[in-house]
Amino acid sequence: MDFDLTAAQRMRREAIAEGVRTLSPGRLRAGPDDHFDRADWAKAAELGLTGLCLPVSHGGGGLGALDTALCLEAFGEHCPDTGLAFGVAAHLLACGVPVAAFATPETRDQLLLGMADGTLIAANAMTEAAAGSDVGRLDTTATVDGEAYVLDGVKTFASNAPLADVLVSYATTDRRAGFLGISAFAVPCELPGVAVGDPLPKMGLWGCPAGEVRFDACAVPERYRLGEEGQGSAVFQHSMRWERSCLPALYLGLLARQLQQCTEHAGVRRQFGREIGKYQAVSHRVARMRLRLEGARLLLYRACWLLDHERHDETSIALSKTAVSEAAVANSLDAVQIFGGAGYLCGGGIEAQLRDSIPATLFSGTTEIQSELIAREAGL
Amino acid sequence: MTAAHLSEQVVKDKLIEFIRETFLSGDPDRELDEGTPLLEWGVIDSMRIVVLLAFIRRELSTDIPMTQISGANFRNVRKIAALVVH
Ligand SMILES: Cc1cc2nc3c(=O)[nH]c(=O)nc-3n(C[C@H](O)[C@H](O)[C@H](O)COP(=O)(O)OP(=O)(O)OC[C@H]3O[C@@H](n4cnc5c(N)ncnc54)[C@H](O)[C@@H]3O)c2cc1C
Repeated sequence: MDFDLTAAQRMRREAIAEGVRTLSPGRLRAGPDDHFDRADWAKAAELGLTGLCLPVSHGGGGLGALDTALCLEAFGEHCPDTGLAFGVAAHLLACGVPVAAFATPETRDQLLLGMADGTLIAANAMTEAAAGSDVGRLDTTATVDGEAYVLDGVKTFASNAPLADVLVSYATTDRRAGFLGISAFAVPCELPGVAVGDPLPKMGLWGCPAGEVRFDACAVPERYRLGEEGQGSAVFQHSMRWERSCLPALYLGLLARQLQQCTEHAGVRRQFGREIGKYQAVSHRVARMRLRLEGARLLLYRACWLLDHERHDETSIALSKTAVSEAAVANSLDAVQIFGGAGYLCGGGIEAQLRDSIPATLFSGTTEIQSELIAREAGL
Repeated sequence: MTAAHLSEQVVKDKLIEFIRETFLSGDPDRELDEGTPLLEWGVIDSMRIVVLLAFIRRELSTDIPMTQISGANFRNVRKIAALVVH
């Protein structure tokens, strides 16, 4: 066992840190309508972030899960726009990964290069009004018509959708086959019958616009199907395995930055004639924050390492996803407490960390669903 | 590894017993048979299939590859037993 990063891993992280400092992609957002734009996205793409784990043959970085996570961690630490980091990671993991693994060669050639270099923005459109945690029954349908599938239905909460060029989406092709009757598609947004709604106002991750997607008799040529007909749930699981393993790493970065801010603040803010860090109520809080961060980080690195070694271990991924997201919420509450009133004021960045952390226990499968996966694998 | 040494009937019986106990609270009214549409009725969903595959791996010594997990192969107990045996 070796807990050190390799020289190559350290260099990649330093390059991202340096690149974020010089290019400054994104910024602390001012309100729920303040989203990133293509210029912000292009800066992240210039740092290679939109293609980290996509194949080198199609312009990606060819990285494994652990190396991808290490890069996202560095991005999350240095980029104040957590919504941008989230949008880039969702594009890469929930869209790039399944297109790379399951698209026809023709479609890979058409889409993957642009997705890797960031000229194409992708959104994952799975969730529906009646299908959130349970995505085994989708109201959106895909009906065969000649050489195409005609998609009809409404998706919601698709992150990046208002800016997207391509959607990775899922629809029922055989209702009688239950969750094995779902098929996956890469849908170019320019196809007739695709309509994307306005950004939904959210509590946090303001930088990342999320919206509704409407398919109205949208004819999607067969070459855009991902995997076989009926393989959609497996395609989705593959993408979620990557997203659950790697995406939370950006929160590890956020938590590292936050821990540093809290430590500094506790060392300089004085009340009753002493630095507040001299009070155990404050210093022990910082110690507990560090414990949560480092425990979560180890679980995440291990989950990614297992994924890289093709050891299909859903439990490790679920443990890691839960640990990081719960650490993010708990530490962000602690940070507000340590900063006091200043932590509650908008614009200071501390309250934003809390708002940005809360959805981590919801997206990519809620905490309850992760617990369910862990319990099921244990045979309970 | 496959369960070629088990007869298809034995596999069907084991699958029915497992599905009854695990997913149907024992199936007191004995509604499940080898033709019951498991996917269509939601007896097997995306969470439960993980449990079922683990059972097949453990008790029937068969690893079902991802490419074989389809609506046709998991339609009912008859189909799953055929997949396990062949
Ligand atoms: C910031 C953010 C970004 C998102 N981005 C995307 C995206 O890009 N694309 C996309 O398709 N979707 C996206 N989503 C949607 C997300 O995937 C869903 O919100 C999530 O899967 C939960 O579904 P739901 O909101 O319908 O909640 P529900 O499924 O209705 O769950 C409500 C509550 O019930 C609990 N619950 C449900 N089932 C069980 C069970 N079996 N056992 C125990 N508890 C259970 C849940 O854990 C939760 O606490 C995003 C969500 C957020 C917050």
